Amino acid sequence: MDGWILTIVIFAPLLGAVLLAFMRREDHALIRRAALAISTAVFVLTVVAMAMYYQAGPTETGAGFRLEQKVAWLGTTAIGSVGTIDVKYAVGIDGISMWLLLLTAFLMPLSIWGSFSAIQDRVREYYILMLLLQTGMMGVFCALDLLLFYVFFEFTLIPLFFLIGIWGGPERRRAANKFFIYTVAGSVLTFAGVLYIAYFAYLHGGRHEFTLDLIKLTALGQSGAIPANIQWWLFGAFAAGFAIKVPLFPVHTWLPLAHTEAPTAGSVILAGVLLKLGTYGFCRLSLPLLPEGVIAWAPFMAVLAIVGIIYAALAAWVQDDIKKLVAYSSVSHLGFCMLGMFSLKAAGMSGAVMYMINHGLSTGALFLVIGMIYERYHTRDVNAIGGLGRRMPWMAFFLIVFTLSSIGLPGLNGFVGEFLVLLGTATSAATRDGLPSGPLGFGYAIPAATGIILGAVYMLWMCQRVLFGPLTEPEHTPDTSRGLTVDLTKREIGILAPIAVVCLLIGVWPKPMLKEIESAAVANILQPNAMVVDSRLALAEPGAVERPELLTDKIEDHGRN
Amino acid sequence: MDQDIVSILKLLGIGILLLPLLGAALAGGLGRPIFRGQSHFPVILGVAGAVVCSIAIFFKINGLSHHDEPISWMVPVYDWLAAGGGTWFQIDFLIDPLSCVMLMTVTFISLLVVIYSRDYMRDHDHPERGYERFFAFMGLFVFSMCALVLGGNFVLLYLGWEAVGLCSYLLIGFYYQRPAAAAAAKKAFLVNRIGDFGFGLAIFLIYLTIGHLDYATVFDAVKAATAHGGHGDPAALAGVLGLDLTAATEVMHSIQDRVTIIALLLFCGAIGKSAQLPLYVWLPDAMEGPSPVSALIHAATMVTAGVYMVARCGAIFAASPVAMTVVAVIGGVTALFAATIALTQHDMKRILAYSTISQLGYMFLGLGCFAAASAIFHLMTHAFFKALLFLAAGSMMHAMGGIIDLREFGGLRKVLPWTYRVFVIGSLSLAGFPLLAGFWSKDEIIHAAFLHNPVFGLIGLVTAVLTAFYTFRMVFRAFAGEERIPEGVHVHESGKWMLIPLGVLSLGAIFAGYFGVTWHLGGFVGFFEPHGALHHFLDPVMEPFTHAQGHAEHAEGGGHFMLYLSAVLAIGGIVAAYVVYVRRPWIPGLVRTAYPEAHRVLFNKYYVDEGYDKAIIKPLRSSGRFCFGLDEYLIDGIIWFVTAVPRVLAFGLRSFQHGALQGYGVSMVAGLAIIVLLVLFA
Repeated sequence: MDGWILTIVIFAPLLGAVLLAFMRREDHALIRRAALAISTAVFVLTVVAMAMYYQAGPTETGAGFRLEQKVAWLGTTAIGSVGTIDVKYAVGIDGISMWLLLLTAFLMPLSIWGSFSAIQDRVREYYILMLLLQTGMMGVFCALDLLLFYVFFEFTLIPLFFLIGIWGGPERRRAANKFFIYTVAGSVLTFAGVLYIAYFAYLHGGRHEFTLDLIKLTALGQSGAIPANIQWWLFGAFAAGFAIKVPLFPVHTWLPLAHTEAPTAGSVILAGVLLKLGTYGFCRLSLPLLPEGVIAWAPFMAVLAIVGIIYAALAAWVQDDIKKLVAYSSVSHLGFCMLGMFSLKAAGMSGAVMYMINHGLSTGALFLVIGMIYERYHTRDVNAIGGLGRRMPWMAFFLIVFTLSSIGLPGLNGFVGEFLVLLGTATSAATRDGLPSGPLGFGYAIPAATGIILGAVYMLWMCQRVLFGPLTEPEHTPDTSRGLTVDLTKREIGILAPIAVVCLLIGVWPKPMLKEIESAAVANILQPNAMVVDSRLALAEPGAVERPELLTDKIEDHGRN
Repeated sequence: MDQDIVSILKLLGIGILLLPLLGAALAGGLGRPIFRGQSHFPVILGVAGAVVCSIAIFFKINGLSHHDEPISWMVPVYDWLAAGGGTWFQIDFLIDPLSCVMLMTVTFISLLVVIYSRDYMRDHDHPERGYERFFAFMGLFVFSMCALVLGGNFVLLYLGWEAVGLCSYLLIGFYYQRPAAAAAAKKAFLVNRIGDFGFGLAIFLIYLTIGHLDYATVFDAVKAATAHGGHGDPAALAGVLGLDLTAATEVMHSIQDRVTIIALLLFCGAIGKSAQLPLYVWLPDAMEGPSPVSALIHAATMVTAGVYMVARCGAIFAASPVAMTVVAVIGGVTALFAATIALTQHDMKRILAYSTISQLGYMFLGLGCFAAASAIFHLMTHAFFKALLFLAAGSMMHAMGGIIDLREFGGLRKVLPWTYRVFVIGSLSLAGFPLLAGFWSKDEIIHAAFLHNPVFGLIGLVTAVLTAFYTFRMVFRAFAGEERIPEGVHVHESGKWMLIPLGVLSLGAIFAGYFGVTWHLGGFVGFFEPHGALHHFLDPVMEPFTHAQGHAEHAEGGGHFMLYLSAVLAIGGIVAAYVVYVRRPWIPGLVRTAYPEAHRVLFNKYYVDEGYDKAIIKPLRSSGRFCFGLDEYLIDGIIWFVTAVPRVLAFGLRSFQHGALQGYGVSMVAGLAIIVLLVLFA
């Protein structure tokens, strides 16, 4: 069963969606409960998968994936005498994908539960699409074959396109189109890159095999067989799709619109998980496969990330629509994530992964809170609402908690990622963690750190406007017609409380997560990268021959720890 | 034996942290449904528990110091953040004389303040709205402040640093429906964040340079790298960091290069938290919070975190003469600057706030002049008398329904007899009246400043006169003369929950100085000699300062002359205030009309807030609008243009797409053929 668990986890939501399709369209209450039950069951299954992951134990080197399952898909087909095609259904997880998988499974029932009162028409279709979306996202995090990865990656677009386009705000059509065209345009290039690297493997991999196997391609990338200029182009092609998804400045303009128009749950999933597909793509594909391309591009990517951090923070500060404000804050935060990744340091990389998870939790929760406000007041304009702290003390409590988590208050989750990202960036050039000198340095950390000031500026500004001061409400509000109360209902508290607890837990005791993430980051993402750079160094300067040995010592050390 | 001590200290340290936190959790979580008007109980008990634990730790360490045993203990608790390469940043405690003194001061003052708050946060014996929230935040503050002091590494210091900032934010904004309070809370947090920006960078730079963030290793490394008059001792450094000699030499040079910038970046954080120039602007506004909060957080404890940090990082600061000069200059200038503003304000709490800024300036002046023990001494005495003054002012506010503007009342000595007495005691101590707590500690700093550089000493003396003057300006205007009470206010003296803490603090304001003074026949006024038990206790921790000073100058000298001089100046300031505000009350008006410009500048606090608004906030807002505009027009415009290309192409190619399936089939086959050919022959 070991190999099957991931497949079950990935396709359980799909199965659930099929079940929902057979239910009576008018039976709203039942459909809602069924959707919630299915997503909760998926969460339980994911926890089981996690337990099995731990039971499987680490591989000898600490590298590689666990719970792998491989089924020939387009077969390991021989094309006559020319060679073979190796395209298969291959899934498996490591310390990074496991936590992202869990994040997805955790956020989905909460966002489904959060949609109970907000979604009143085409209920069945809505939950079907949500569950389909979940299958797509979980598939991306598990895929070990590039074609499979790409299929899932693109598949996520379709449900979200409809979620925004049907249940969105007044400008939903435009938002859905912009979102779709933007992301498809980029990922076409990514796909071209994926095909090319497989083709390159076919030509130069030595086995005449058109392979899309992630592990084989990683080995190819490690071996240094791909010339630097080709790596450079390939990185650019990959980045086109991933950077738009992240979204990295300056290709971020689809995000504020998509967020503002999407229904609450759509925003939660979009911010919480879908943006991470971009960063995950970078760390799963670009970094291990194209080590030299990464080194060449890293300063440029880091500069874009930093510009994005500051630019989006400033833009967030002048938004009157609080949802748009949080959307811009996402752009700023994901900049931190990218920066940490391209520090190519253990601390920066694990910080970046932590940042993905923490951003998913805190920003997802912020969107939920904003959705709850919107359901009551039918506006998100800070000029129209104010002083809600006294009206809605529970809401105020949660909004403040998630704001603090978002601005990186130590003791809450946001700090863990932010601190490690900046630490990794600042110490990128040092070699203390057993990895070779990275491309960034202290000079990158200084402007990035202004992001921690600006982050506090716009978030606290929002809190001040929404929660504090004299009470301001539009006429005929709060609207409690859909079974809501003025302050949060028990259901809504039940949605937010688990996220708050997790935020606190991660802030206080992140070790269980960090341990897995760090070892996976080093073994599966940075170490391949390091080996190439190191062997090149060794070739370049004969004096540095001991370094690879030193490095392997470190790996073994690491394995023991 | 060692293991025993560590586990005892660990237990006590955890007690100090968790008891107030537990109290806060009970008050916050169960306050509404269960405790209601009794929500103060869990917090008072929790903080009292922390006091007991602090005293126990003190006796443990004090006992060790008498037996010449190690008095500095690192107590690991658990792993927190992964640093890469299998190492972790820990949650750990550093327990040594400095943390003992800080812990006792913090927990003791906190206890008195939460007891006081029991009555203060009530209106005619009805708990105010948010009563349980107030006590929960107070408990959380005590936890955070103790974490800041106890933490054994820079990450934990940063954690405590931010956490106290959070509590300050929440408590300044306690009356969140008042726009001024909400704005002040936000301002406090943001100005502090500016300081934290520097602090954070300092942490990264330390890690980049040394590769560790725990105090012991970092300080030992810096000491080794700057030993022998700055030339460094690579062998010792190699021992500290476990490196070979060549690597250690390399690290040594980078430490020598960077120690000044590290110290200055750290000091950035201290400037923010301890409200020094140019980041002091948040503290006067922070007076929007309830008075107990002003007393505890914005006078006695949190704002002194910067002083604690510089004292704690003595090894780093003392290694850099430039940084020490900056600390002294900022401290001295702030002391004088804030005192001049205090001369013209009318809101008693704001006068006290400027006075706090000024006194914190003294502490930094002391640190900058290598008198770190004296700075901590002043920190302690200041905690007592300034908490006393704020709580007494709070008692007046409570009595008069929230009015604290000196123009609205006067001559209150009859109606508020106890408040009057304790306020005068606090004022005398602040003014540096001879033999009171403030006198001893302030004099030490002025003395050290004179020895270091006469200009600093002069600044200290002038500020001392101004302090005495503005303090008693406040006293005489509030309590002397005819009784004037705002209309419609029924003035009443406070109850015992408020008066007892005031009484205890008055005793502290009088006698706390004697921890730092020794009996000595033939000393000052025949009996006293500065540098007492407190200094001996602290000396081992302050060794980097005294050591560095040893190279520059010798601390002794000057005799008791300075003591007599500052006593005379303090009394002179008080007498001057008496003359100006009681005997010749027309003088202030005359001065105002004679120098209208000067008065306007001082009254408007040198227009610093307005300047910041114009120079920083407005331009940033505009650039935010500019960025958003770029998004909406430029970037989206380019995207539109790019997508227009396929649209135009599509328009041109539409003739090829006439909907016939065969046509598509043909082009698909053609395309596939091209790909296959490429694969085969490339």
